[in-house]
Amino acid sequence: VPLGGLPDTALPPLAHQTLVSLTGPRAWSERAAQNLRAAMLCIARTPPLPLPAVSRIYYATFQATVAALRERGFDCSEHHGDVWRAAERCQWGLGRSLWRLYTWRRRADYATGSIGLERARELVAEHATTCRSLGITEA
Amino acid sequence: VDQVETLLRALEHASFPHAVAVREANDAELGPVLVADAFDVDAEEVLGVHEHLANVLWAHAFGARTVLPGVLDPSESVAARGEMRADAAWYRPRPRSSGSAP
Repeated sequence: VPLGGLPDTALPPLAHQTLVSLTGPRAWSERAAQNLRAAMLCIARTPPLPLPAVSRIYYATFQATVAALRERGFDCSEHHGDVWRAAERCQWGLGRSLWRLYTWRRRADYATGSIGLERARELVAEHATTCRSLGITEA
Repeated sequence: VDQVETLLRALEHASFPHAVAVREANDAELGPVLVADAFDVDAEEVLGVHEHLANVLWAHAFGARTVLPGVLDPSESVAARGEMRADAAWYRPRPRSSGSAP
């Protein structure tokens, strides 16, 4: 049965490499790279999608941080607060930055406030830089 | 010392330049939290003030409840004041003195 009304031929096959990276040692950095790419696409497209862009850039940064923590031997869970605190011990300001971005993601995902296009662009630009500083590049 | 009182003292100690309301809330993913919103922040200063607020509150953000810092521009502030619960705790910056030093 076609998914969502799309013909089967419209669904690209999953590459073997993608399947491996879902659970391998690059699991977190691969997710970060894909979410970083998604955030950039959402904010650059016409018309832009600022709310998904903010949500994706949060997860890109969060996953980039988890990947960096694990690579450097920090032991932490995947709970948001645990990652923020561990990140701050790993790199000054990183945990605070992620903590602040979470509050914008609440606005984007749970309608706790508004986010204008310019604000979304600023957030994506700032945190894309953070992701790249942690070794993540767009998928 | 109560966590809310600690937050208000931190804001006072930092002479934080904007009013801040601290209130209980329920975060969809974190559960019960304290939300600390800075009010009446000019739109072009929102990200800078947010960073300042986060720096002031970070040391006290993971007590009994996780604290989430927020920033409201003038139009959001008007709406938020109208909806603010009576049990919210307020930090209000001291007015700047206009007099000259003796």
